[in-house]
Amino acid sequence: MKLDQLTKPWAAFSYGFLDESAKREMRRRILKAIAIPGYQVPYASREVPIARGWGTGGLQVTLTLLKPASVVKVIDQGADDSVNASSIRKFLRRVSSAKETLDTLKADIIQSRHRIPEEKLREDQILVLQVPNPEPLRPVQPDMSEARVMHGDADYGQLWLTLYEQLVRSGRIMQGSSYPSMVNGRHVMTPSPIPRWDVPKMHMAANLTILSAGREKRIHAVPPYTRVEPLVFDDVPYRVEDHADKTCYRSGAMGFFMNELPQDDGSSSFEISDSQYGVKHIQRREGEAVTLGETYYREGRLER
Amino acid sequence: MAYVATRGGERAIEQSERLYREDLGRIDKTRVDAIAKSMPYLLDRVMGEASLYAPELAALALAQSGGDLYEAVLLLRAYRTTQPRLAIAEPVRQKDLFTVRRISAAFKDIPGGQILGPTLDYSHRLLNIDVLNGADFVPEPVEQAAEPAPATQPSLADWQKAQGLIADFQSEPVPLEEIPDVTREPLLFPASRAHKLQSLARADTGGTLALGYSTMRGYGNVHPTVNELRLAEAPVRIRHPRGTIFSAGRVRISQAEIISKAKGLQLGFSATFGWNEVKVIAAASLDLASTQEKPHPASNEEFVLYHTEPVEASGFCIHFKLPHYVTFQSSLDAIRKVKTDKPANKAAVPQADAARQAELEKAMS
Amino acid sequence: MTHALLLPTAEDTRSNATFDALMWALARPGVIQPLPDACLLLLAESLLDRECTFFSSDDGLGRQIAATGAYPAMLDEAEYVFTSLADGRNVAALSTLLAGNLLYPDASATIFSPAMIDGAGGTRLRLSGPGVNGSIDLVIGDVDRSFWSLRAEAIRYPLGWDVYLLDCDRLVGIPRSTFIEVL
Repeated sequence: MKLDQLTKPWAAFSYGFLDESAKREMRRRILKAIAIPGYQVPYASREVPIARGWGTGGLQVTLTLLKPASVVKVIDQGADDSVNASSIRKFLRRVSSAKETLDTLKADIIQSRHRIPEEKLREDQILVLQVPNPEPLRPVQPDMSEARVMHGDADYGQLWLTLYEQLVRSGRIMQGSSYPSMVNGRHVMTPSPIPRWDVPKMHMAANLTILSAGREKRIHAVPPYTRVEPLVFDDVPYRVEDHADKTCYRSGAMGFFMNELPQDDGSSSFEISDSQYGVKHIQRREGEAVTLGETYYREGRLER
Repeated sequence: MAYVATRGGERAIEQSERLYREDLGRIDKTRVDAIAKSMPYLLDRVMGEASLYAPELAALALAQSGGDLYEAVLLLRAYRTTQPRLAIAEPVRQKDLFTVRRISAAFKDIPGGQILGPTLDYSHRLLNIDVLNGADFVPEPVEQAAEPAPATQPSLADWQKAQGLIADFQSEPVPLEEIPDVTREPLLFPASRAHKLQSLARADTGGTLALGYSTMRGYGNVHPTVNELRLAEAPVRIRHPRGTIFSAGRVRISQAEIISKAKGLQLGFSATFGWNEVKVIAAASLDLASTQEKPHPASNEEFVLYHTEPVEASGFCIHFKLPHYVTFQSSLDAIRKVKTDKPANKAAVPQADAARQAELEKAMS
Repeated sequence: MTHALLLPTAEDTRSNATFDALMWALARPGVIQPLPDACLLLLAESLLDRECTFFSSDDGLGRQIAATGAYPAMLDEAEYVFTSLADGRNVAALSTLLAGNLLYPDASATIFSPAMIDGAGGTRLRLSGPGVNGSIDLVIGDVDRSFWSLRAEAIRYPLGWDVYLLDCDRLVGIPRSTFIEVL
């Protein structure tokens, strides 16, 4: 063997930024994550040109999946124009030549921080969620090694106990976003810091979801048609945010997850969080030909 | 009503980056060379934390980031990700190091002698204000020793092992390709010895110092003494595919052995790229502290290795600048609901007191 | 970094397309995925390198796989197992495969085997579980019938192993999470 057989001709950067060995590792880990839904697969997590905590986990997954023919959408807090989403989108285009879209319906891969789009994802789509903390047990067990033992034993008693304590103290479960959810009846996962509104969208969804925490070096997945059940007590129903009757002041869309905007007079107005879905409403009102996809919620109620 | 084009975000980030770069001005090779020449210890610190030995690239990273160390380390780490691994160098033994400084606090004199080498340890920390007034600072020439110090020095620990003072763990030979590499495998706990020392080698200098200092002050039950501290140049020797071993150059390294007298004599160890004494002394103390039975939480292995990782820690810290309004909205909804439901809850749960409620709301914010 | 857009090499394109098939095969058990070429080696090239161990029952293929840098290992230590399931004796040996442990169920094997998918003859299977919308039926030939009972015995979810079956350029994946009824 010669030295030059060990490598390939020099190039400033590999396609998709990650070098082949990093990509192969990502591929192996993604396959394990799909094979064991909700189980956190450890991975090396290479450094990428954005800071840790800014979507490096999601970015490594997207970089592994992208092809020049891919159409990619990037959102942060539901918005395509958020500065960090813009920055990630720009980087993805530069290193993969992939096409960009803002329209959920046109995307092959959607990388998102903290939201699932309102329009239903299809069987051919992949949702890549950025995850700050992959461990749903962290509030009850900050030691990752101990938490791993608890997952191994399916020992979720302490987690149930904290939920119960919240019920007793406050009359409701206080978990805001990142609602712990049971996947395929075996592993409790964090769905990432999406609002409670979005968690039911994962249950038996048609799309593949890959959740990746770059800083914490863990990856987990929810394959299509997989049970995702928020941890709730039989007699206390799961409650999503009370946005069913809110109307977006800009687009007029009603019954979707909203951003609350405090007003000078002490009141609040609301704007739809899925920014491009709101834009499509406005475009339609202005007479443009746009396709509004089927949504998970209709008139504020979950469609099943 | 028209909607704001979503390209607004892109323009904003582009212009903010331009503002930053405009302040730094043109970067040319002269500037990079000047950084490399005038700040070798800064380069060493950045290369150690980046786990990439490349002085020229480190100087470039410092030029590009305007001296923001965490940015410079991230630039180098991200570059490192793109580079293939061509070969694995042969192991380096202490006795093979071209040693320029080697001291022990455990003995007055040691085999091979105490070699002070370059240090500011005994200097008076006075600013040479005159330089600002046009009087250059010209360092006084070093006077040649009567006899030059030998290029290599024996290992003090070897002498202690031969004396039976410290345990001599028989190390099994490991094929080069089977040496674990924490940059290519996840760090799992309990960490392998290799992963632990590699993680400490690329740990944040400041973070390592903070935790190391806490064990030195007494949060933990080790009483550290510097057994040996060494600054050296290590030969990088690589096996050619034809089988011959050749030198690919040298890298500056520092290493420290810290010895504890608490229960017999035990060693803690650390080594890193570059000359960075504070880091290896602190890291070797943490290595020692973390291997004790029931270490203090601040020197627990998982705690130390997670929290001294410079790129992860700094990245997560600054990520709180990103908008979090969706998660905030979600919590707000839960808190408001508690308020509207309060009368009913009070009747149902008499022990739910106001203090706890406030605590809970604080926790949710 | 330059501002020109990066384009894939032919190698990048092929290994990305292969991984696409591998990923969707596991995400949609029983749904046939197209591969860029009819070749077991292709699968190895997109996944394996010097960080992996493998076992190949075919020496020729084994030598080709070793060129990826992956290390040959005994069957009971191999992470990636390339074998034929057509022979009952080969199948019986699989009872020793890595199935992971409760802390790390991913420390387990993946099998790659040729098979006849939805061809003339074979075992009729009904798959259900994650990735399957309800259930899906599949006829698998060139896989000894004993394999399916061995698999059922070996899997103690989340412990177990995952299987890929390859028929020319058509790929089917069966993760450990899939429940299989032999009809």
